[in-house]
Amino acid sequence: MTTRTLISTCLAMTLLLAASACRSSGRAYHDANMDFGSIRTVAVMPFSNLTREAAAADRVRDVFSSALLATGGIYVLPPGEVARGIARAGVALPTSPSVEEVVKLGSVLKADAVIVGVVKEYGEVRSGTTASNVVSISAQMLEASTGKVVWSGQSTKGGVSLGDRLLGSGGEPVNRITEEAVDDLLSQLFH
Amino acid sequence: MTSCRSCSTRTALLLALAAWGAGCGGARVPVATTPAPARVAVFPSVNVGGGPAPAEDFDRAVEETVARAGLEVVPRQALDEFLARHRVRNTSGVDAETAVAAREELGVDAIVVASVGAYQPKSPPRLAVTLRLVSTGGPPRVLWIDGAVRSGDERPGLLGLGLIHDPARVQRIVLDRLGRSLQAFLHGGARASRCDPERRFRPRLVFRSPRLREGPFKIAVLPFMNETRRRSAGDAATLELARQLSTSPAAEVVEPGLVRSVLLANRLLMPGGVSVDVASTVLDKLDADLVVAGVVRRYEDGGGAFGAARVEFTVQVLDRAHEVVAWSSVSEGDGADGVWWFDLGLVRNSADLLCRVAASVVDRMDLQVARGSGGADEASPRSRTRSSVRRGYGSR
Repeated sequence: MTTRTLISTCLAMTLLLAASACRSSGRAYHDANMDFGSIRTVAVMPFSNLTREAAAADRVRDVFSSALLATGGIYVLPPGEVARGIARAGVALPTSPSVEEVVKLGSVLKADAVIVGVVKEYGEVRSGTTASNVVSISAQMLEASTGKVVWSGQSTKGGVSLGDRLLGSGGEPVNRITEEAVDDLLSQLFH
Repeated sequence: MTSCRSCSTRTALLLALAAWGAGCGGARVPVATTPAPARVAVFPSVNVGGGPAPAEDFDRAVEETVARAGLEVVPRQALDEFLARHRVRNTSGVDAETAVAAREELGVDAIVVASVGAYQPKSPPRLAVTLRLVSTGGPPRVLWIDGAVRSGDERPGLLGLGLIHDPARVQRIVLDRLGRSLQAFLHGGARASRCDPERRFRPRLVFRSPRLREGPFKIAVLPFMNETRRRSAGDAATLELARQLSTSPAAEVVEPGLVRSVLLANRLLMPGGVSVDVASTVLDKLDADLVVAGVVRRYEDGGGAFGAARVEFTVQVLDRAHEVVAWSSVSEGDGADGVWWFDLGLVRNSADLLCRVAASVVDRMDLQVARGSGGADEASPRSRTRSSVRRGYGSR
């Protein structure tokens, strides 16, 4: 094997390893007929938790609500207000409300839209002897007047990178990765 | 002529020095508008640390500290009889009835409420105490509140010569510091100082409404929800937020005992957090401007790297005038954040870390008194389009 071939092979393997880190922005869906500028108030429902970490959904929901509020473009109802609305509207499963429940919630809370989400991964992921943190979230926005999905997005951040494999650094703290994932989701929402 | 000139120069110099001296020594703004109390009752201390509680010796030590500050303390026996007579079981706060009864029956001007945020007698010993002075007769008001935290391994110094193994010595250090603060209040009306806010503990996500520039505010701090495994973490966070808010000249914090009595009397529950209804009721009953609520998600000693403490909580402030969120933040504190050089700056004590993180939140809130003190504005509800947008990121 010549030196040149060796270098090319090493480069290709390095690129392959780098690409193997779990970072992806999912494709977002925007309803073309929806006027997103009319959405002023949203209610963020409790997120569904598909992970082993019991508090994952609450943590991600907190970060998502605060980040959305911090953009200044949308008013996010306080979680206690949403809880009160869920009780009054009689929503059976807050993490995945039906169309009728969304419409009812919208009128109880006077919200223009309802956001639901799922936390698919949260916490440590191992690859061989290396461990790192990963967060994977998907979210949907449902228009309160019709119950239709007008936006959908997903994001996965973190994972075992090349640096983690080579240096065993353990990755970034999970809260930092959560913020990155939420930032990515909001970028998908506003773009 | 020369002598007159030198006299006037000397006088001018002395005046300048006096003016400089008055401005130096910390920006302590006198806040007492009511006369300083003379006779007080010291309630039995309350444990909000979630761990073991100190023995009765601690309560006696608090009474001695208060007496040394210049106050007359009601004898323990008379106080115990009063508490039994009125069936006062919760001594973490003072409600209106207890305040009036204490003034009439015990003849006290104020009540001292002591809370223990951390207590560990084993080496290294740790102690965190918050004391507050609450007026009696009429709606009870917080006159003074301060806290102190000390660990035996906080300042090990060279070759560990600064390590303290004796819990009694740690207790003396903490109570002496609180005694000095109380004395400064009684003699000069000085407001207690805040824990040093640090950039590394600043809230990472922040929403701040311009409404927070329109003080002064009367603030009710609701009990924080506790989602940790540590008992009373919510109470510890509530007390710490109340303490840090009270250091702001633009804020008057409602006595937590009064808030608790309003919640109980009106059967107000907060599953999932505070709603606008609950906030409105509390604000109306207490005639307050802002209500603070939050959730504690993590509060642990030694959970982080190098045995560092970890704290995580969210804070929301609801505004009575507009019925909207005026502040929302997510704070995460790791005692090992920004520690690179031989554990310099490492925070192992969760109570100490909570103090710093809460101080950073209040510092970022930046409550201000409106120019001309015009009070609440007449803007339409939900004027969120005018809200200032800030995204805070940590120091890293």
